[in-house]
Amino acid sequence: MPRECITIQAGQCGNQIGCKFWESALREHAAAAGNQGAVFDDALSSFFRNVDTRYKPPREIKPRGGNTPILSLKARAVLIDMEEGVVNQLLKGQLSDLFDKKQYITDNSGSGNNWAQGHEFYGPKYSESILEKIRHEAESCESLQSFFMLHSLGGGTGSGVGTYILELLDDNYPKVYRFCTSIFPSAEDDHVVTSPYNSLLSTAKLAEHADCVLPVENQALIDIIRKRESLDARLEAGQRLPSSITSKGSKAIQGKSFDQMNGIAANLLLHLTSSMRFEGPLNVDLNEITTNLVPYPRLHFLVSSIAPLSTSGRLVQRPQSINQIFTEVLSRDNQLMKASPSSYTYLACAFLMRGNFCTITDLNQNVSRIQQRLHMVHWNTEGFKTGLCHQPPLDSPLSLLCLANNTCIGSRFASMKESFSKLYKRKVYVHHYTEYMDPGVFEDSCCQVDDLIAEYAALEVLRPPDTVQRLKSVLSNI
Amino acid sequence: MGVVVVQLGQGGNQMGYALFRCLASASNSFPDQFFRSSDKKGKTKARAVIIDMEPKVIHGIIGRAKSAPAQINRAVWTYDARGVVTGDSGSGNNWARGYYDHGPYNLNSMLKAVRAEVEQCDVFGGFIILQSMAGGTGAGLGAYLVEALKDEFPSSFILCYCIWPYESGEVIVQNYNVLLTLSHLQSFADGIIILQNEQLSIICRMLLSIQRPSFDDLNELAVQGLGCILLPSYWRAIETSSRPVSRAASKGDSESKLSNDNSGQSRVRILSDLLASLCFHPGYKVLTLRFTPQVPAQSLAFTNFTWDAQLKYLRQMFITGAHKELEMDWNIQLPRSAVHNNKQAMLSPTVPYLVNRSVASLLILRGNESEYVDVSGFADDRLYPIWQVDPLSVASSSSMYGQYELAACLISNCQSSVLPASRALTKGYKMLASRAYLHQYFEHGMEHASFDSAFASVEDIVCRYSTL
Repeated sequence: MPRECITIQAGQCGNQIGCKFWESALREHAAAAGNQGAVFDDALSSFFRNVDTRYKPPREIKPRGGNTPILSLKARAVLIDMEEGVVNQLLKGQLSDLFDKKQYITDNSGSGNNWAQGHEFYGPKYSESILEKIRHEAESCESLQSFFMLHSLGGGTGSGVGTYILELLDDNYPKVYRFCTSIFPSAEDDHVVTSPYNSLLSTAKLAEHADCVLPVENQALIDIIRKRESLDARLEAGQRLPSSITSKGSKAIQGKSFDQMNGIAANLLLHLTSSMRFEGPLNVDLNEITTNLVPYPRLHFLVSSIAPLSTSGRLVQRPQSINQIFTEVLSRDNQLMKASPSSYTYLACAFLMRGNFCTITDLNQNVSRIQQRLHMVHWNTEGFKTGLCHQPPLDSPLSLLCLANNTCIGSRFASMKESFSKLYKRKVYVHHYTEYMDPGVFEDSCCQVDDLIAEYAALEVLRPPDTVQRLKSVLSNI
Repeated sequence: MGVVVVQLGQGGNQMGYALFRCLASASNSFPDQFFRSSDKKGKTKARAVIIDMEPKVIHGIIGRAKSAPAQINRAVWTYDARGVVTGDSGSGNNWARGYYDHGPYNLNSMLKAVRAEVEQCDVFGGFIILQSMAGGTGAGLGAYLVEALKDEFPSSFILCYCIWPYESGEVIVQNYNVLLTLSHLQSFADGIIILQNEQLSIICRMLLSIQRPSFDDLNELAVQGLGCILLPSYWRAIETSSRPVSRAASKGDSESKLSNDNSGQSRVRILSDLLASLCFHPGYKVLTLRFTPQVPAQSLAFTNFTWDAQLKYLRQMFITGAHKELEMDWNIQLPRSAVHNNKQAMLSPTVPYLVNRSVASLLILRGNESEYVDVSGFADDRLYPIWQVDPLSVASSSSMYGQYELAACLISNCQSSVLPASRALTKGYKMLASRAYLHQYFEHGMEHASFDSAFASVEDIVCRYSTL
C-alpha cells in the first residue's frame, strides 16, 4: 500500500506536460516489469488505479501482494482547462483509456491569458465540481500522500485556476503535500504580453499555499534540447565532445521540440517519484524532500537539474562514470531553470540517484568532493540529502537529479518583479484584471514577492556570528 | 532465555536482517535466545518485532528471508508475520513526526506485537532495539517506543544499537535528530551502543578490500561485533593459570565443549550481565564496540592468527580510541599518574585527545585457547578512573566464531563513544541559532523548550565523560 499521488493538470501547458508524463510513466513501468508482463503492484498503484470496466460503475481492484493482473488502468488525475482543444485531443489520442468522464472539467471560452479571470471567475464557478472530482480520486486512495500540480504561470487558466485549486487543497486537505511543477515564462522568449502580471500574482500564491515548487523555464528546456542535439550529432560523427556548448542559433521552435521539452519536465517528475515507486537501498520520499530542503516555510522553491541529458529513446553509448555525472549535474547547462546557483548561496541540496551499479559510497565520496566547491550557508555546511533507487530510467543506465534550495531564486524573482513594475507603472492592461478583482490584489502580491526576495537576500549576505551560545552543563563545575 | 529484537525504520530493519543471518550462521544450531521454533510445522522463527512506517523495506527483508538458501545444513529461518507493524506514509526524516504522530497512533499495535513475542519466551531477557538515529522512524518513533517499553516492562533491560549517520551528511536535519534521540534514550534505555557509518565505511575500504561498500557490506560488518557478544560465552578470570589438562581442538562440537571445559564456569546472561558490568552508573550509558580481526574474507584462510597479535591491536585501538587496526598512533603512552584530564579535548572537537579513558569494559574472546589468554593489559589502572575497582570483565568461548579461528570483541563504556555527539552538538547549535527547519518540528507539536532540554541533556553526557 504505497502512498498515492494525485496529479492535477491545469491549463494548456499543464495538460500537455501531463500527457507526456503519463506516457513515460507507463513505458517505465512496462520496462520495469520485464518479460513477465506487467502486474498491478504497489509501484503502479501510486499513480494508477486498476478498474474492472465490465461493471457499471467500474469496480476498483486493489493491489494484493503484487500478483493482481491489470484489467484497465486509470490515471489518478484531474484534468482542467477552460477551453476544450487540448483535453479533447488527449481524450482522442492513445491515452484516452486512462481517463474517465469523472476526471476532467472543460469550458468553452478560455481565460484569455488573464489571471484574474481564471482565479476570480472560473475558479469559484467550478470550485464545487473541482472538489467533487478530487474527492472521487482521493476516496480511491488508501493513503494519499501528495498532490502534483502541473501548470504554467504565464497564461490564464494554469496560473489563475491552478493557484485557486491550490488554495482549495490547502483548506480541504491540509495534511497532504502539495508539489507544484510550475513553468515560469522565459525572460527572453515570451509570447504572452500579460505574463509578468500572471506570474507575479501566481508566485505570491505559490509562496503561501504550496509545500514545494519546482520551477521550470522554457528557455532552459530549449537550450537543453539544442545541446542534446548537437551532442548527438557529434557522437554520431565520432568527434570529441567539447566541454561546454553555448546556445546560439535561431529561436524558431518546431512542433517536435515542444514534445521533447514536455518530456524533460515529465522526466523530472518521474525521477522525483522513482524512490516511492521502486526499491532502493536508500529511499527518499516526498515528505523527506520537504523536511530536508525547506528550512523556512516560505522558501520552498527548488532549482532542479538532471544529468546526463538523456538522448530520448536511444541508450547512451557508454555508461558515464559517476564522478562525471556529478560534475555535469552542477553545470548551468543541465538546469531546468535559467539561473546561476554557483554564484549564490546554497541553503540545502539533495542528490537523488537512479541506477543499478551505484553504491552509497560512490554517492558519499562525490558529495564530499562537491561540498568544497559549493558555497553553503554557514549553518548548513553539510546540508546534503542523498537517495539511491535501484531502478534505472528508461534511456540511461544511470541518472542523477539534483534539487537545490539556492538564493539565486531571489534574483530571478527580482527580475520578474521588474518586468511587472514596468507594466504596472503605466497601468497597462490592468483594466482587464480589475474587471474581476480588486486592484488591491496587485499591491498585496507585490508586497509578498518583495518579502520573499528580501528573505533570500538576507540569507545571501548572512555571516556566521562570532560566538554561538552554548548551554553550560551543571557538572562542568565539578 | 529469550531476547526480543525490535527492528525500527529502514536502517534498523536492514541491519536486523543481517544480524539474524549472522547469528544463524555463526554456530551450528539456531541460538535459542534469538530464534524459536513455531509449533505448527517446526519452522524456525526469529524472535523479532519489525516496525516501519512504510512497507517497502519490510516486504523486502521478509522476502529475502523466505527465499534465502539453507544456511549450513540447517533449515532456513523466517520472520513471524504477526510481529510486523507498518504504517503507510513514512516519517519524512522528521523526528517530531515519528515521536508525536506515529508514536501514539501506533502504540497499541506495537505493544501488542511486542507482548506476543515476549510471551513466547520462557525466561525473558530483555530487548535489543536496532535503529538509526538520523531518520524519522528509527529515531523519533524509536525514542517513543523505548519510553513506552520501559513503562510497560519496567524491570526488563533495553539495549539500543544505534546507527550514527555519515558526518558528511546523509540527512540534512540529522544533527537535530541524533541529539533528540540520544537525550531520550539516555533517560529510558539501559545501554546505548553507537555505531558510526563512517567508521564502518573506512574499515571496509581500507582493511576489507571492499572499494565501494554498499549498505549490505556495512551491515554485515556492523553485526559482526554484536553477534560476537550475543552468542553464548562463559565468564573467566582476567589472570589465568595454565591448566595441565590438554584438550582436543575439535571445532564443531559445542555440546561436548560445554561439559568438558566450561563446567564450573557460569554462562554470561545476555543483557542482564552485560549491562550490569558496563552500565551500572545511570550517567554513563554510551558504549562502543571494537572487533578484531578486520581481515577480508578471502584472506582468512591464508592469515595466521595468534592471540598476542590480535589482542595487541585491540588494546591499542582501545587506548587511542580508534576503530580500525591501521594508522594508529603507537607512540601514545599511558600517563604516569592515574589522573588525566581530557576535558578540553572533549568539549572542543579540534583539540585531539590522547588517551581514551573508560568507565568499564567487557572483553569477549572466541576461539581456541581463549580461556588462557592473558588480558591484563586491558585492565590497566591508568585507563580507568580512581573509583573503579573492578573495571574489566572477561568472557570466552572455545567454539569458533563463524569463519574466524580467533575473534575478540571489546565493548567499552569510554570517552570515544561520545565524541560524535560532541561534534553533533557544535553543528546543531549553529542550526538552532538560525532557527532553520524548526517549523517542520513545531508543526507536529514540538516546542523550542524540547530542543533546549535535549541539547542540555547531551551537554551533560559529554561533560560527564570528559571528567573521567
